[in-house]
Amino acid sequence: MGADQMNPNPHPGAPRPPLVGRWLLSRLLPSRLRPTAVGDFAELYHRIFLKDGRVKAALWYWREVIRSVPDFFRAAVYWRITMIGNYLKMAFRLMRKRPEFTLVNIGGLAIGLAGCILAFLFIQDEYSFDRFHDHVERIYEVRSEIGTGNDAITLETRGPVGPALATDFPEVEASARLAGADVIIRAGEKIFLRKGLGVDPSFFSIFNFPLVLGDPASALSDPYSVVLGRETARLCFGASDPVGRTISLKVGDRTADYRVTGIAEKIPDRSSLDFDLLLPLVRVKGPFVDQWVAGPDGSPVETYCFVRLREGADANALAARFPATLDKRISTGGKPGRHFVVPFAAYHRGARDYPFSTILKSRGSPQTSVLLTSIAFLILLVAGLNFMNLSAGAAASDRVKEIGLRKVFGADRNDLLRQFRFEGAFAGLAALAGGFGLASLVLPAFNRFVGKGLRLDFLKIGWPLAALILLAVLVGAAAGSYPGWALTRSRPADLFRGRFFLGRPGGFNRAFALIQFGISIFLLITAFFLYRQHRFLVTADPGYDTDRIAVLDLRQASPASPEFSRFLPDLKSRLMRHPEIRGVSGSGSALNSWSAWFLKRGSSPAPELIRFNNVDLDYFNVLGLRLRQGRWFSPEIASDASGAVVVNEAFARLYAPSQPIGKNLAEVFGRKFPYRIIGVVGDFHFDSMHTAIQPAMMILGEEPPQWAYVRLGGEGIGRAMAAVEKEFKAAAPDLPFLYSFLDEDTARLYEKEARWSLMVGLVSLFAVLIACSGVFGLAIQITARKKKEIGVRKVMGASVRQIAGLINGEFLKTAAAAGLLAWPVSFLAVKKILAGYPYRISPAIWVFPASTAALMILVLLTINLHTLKAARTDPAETLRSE
Amino acid sequence: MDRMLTRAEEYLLLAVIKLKENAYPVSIFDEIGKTTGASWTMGAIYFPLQRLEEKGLLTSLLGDPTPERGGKSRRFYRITEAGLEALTAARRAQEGMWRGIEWARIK
Repeated sequence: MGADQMNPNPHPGAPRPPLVGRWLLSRLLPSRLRPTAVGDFAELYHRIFLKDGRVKAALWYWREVIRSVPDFFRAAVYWRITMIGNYLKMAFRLMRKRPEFTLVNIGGLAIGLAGCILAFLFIQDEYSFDRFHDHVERIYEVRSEIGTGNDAITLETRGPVGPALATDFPEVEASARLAGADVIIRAGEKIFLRKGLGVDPSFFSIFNFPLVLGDPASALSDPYSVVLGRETARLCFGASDPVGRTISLKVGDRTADYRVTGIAEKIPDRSSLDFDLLLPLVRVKGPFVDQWVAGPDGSPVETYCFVRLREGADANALAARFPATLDKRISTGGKPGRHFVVPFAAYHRGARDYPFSTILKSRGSPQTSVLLTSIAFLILLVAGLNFMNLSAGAAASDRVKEIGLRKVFGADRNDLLRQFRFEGAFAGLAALAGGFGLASLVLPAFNRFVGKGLRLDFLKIGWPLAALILLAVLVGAAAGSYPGWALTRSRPADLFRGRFFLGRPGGFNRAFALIQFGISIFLLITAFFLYRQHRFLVTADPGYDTDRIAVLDLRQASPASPEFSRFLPDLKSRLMRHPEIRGVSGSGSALNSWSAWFLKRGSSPAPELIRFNNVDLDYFNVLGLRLRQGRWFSPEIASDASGAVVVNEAFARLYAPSQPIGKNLAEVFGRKFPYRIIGVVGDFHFDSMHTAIQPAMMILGEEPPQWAYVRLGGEGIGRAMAAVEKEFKAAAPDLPFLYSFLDEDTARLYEKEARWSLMVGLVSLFAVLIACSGVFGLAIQITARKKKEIGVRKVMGASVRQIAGLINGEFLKTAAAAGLLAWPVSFLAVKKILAGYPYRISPAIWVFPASTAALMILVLLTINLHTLKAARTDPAETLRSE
Repeated sequence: MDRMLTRAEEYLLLAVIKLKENAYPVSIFDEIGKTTGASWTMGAIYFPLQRLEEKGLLTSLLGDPTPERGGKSRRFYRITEAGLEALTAARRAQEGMWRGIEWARIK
């Protein structure tokens, strides 16, 4: 077969068939046939050439080539099939021959692919949010805007805007207003707190929330009707049919009987909107919701407003036309006339980031999918490289003789290469199958991790499944072709003598190790800082005490009832009789959900965000706030009950920098704001540490408290809580006793960080393990290569330690280089992640070399399992004469 | 022998026997073309030859390269015992099928 290759034209005198024809012929022929068949054609050509001349010979040649195409094609297909059968047989034999190796190698790749599958499911889920609504691409939320540029603040729309849009603009096919409310359900003895959503009847024509029972067109037309979610219905009525029955609901401060008109199907996991029951909008927002002018207390009623647009309508252009009809009607209220639309389909990807939303589920951040994708990619890269490396190591030890023998028997190099690629691809597919198995095994844990309800459904994966198969085949084939390439390149004689090089010594191998080490170090560093940041968030001083403080949920208590004004004072005096209870305080808003005011400062056009809370006299002591200037509210000073505020440092810095105490805020925010600062408390995190502390003020209880904080002392929290429960039940027998502990509430704010640091930690551990197993494979290769060198050195008197050091040194150098490469990358990545936190740790420099050192130690431990053995080998064995 | 020989395979085997030491694709092509008088393509020869070889009815070995072949080797074929058996079976089947049919009547 090699004759032509060795000498391109050994017989210049002989007539040669047409070049293009020859080339075409050789393309068409299966590789096995190629040399002889080209020769056969040439011989016939030669004969006709001598008899009939060049033209006839060329014509014959071409005719023959073209006529043979179908036959060659058949032969090629036939051969492919036969060969694949043979390859499969070989692949199976190899796998059976080395089961533990096969397990490690394919298992590693399977883990990588499983990571990819999970990441893919996660991202698919992120992007399929809300897709179950038929017209999701045409649903928009309409919002109003005040202020300009960066200072712009967006708000809900005035109540009647929704219906007005539907009548004024033909492009608006339907509009529905939404408002969230906590609803207390009273069913017999049971009391539940559920998430209610007040909606227009048109809600069902925009969103697809199918009803199990009831008619969506009429379900909410009656002013005292309610549609229950399936779970809620089961809770209240058990298995019996609830439609038509009445149920007592308390919405806001009004309790009334409602008729159940429908049961909604369970809300899909992938829904941004979340509710337990649906009510008519008027029950949540009151009778003034349909009026343009302000409600009874002077403030306009606002709602969330959703529209479904006609197909092909340009939402933004339409929004620009809204003021034309809306402004005339709004003018009496003086509301600025700017409106814009937010596509509902983009909600879940963070298009609408609004901290006070009561109708939306909490969402994953868009950052999460980027981080997850990069992690999945890194896992696959590490696993793929490892697969390649281990295959190479195995080939170096096991397949050398086989390939040598096959070469002697005239195997074509391309055939051998194809076999390697095939084996790799086959292993890749096996790994993919394993990956799917693994992914479905860990899916429940992963779901808990990312807080999702992902499912692995083969039929629903569709084209990405094909992409995954392709990916597995490509990774496998690429991994297989490298050792194949190195092996088939070597001369059979060298192979038999065990002299065979996987590339230049140190070339490819070092690159593999470099990348694996680099990724491991990168992940170790990232995981460490994520962990530290989480610890920081959890342990940092929030500016108030969290230890031994119970939070009581009083939202169910009805402020309208005459007993209510006495409820908290009554509870307080009852609780204070117990020595283990140190203090009780009522608060209008819970920590992490303080109210917000938008106030205009002087002539500035944009309103500014001020957070505020209604507190009582004990708030300061119970939460352990710190006083910076002035004083806290005092029961002795009557004027404190109206017009006095205590502000935080952020407020004082911004609005009363020179002399905060005694400052009249009417000077800043106008005559409608007649408050006087009496004290400044140290900044504390009334929001989670994910946001910077905003200017805030506290007023002495103008509104009834929704929450109570109980500071517990003494030893047993259980005993103290039992007392709290007993007194609570005594003070308010009809109220459910709902409580939590402040430290747990605070820690829960940082669950996402806890999950991420754990996840990246596990991934980095996995990467290190894989790198170690890869390094082990490398050590086997290197010692095999250096067998003789080690033997000679030993004969010359080198000690075991010196020889082991020789090989260890190589790996340590690589690890050091990988560290140098990984440090800047991880530094930037960590910096970028931390930049998302206003309160954060600063990356400590020592972590960078420390992570590298940790990896080095692990690597040394791993390779010395093998190198020490190699170094101890009796030189007589390796230096035997050939 | 689970499958009967095709007509093309039968001819190829017969040609290989006839050509003795000189059975390679070109000579087989010549032989079949000359004897049957039909027009064969070169390409149609390789595929059945390969299959026959794979089934063990033929063996092959490479000869030396020659100048008029552009320096390429010939692949010479030789029939095996199994090939001879298959041919005998094919012939017996054919004779059996023809038995009892009078030539004159179908003509």
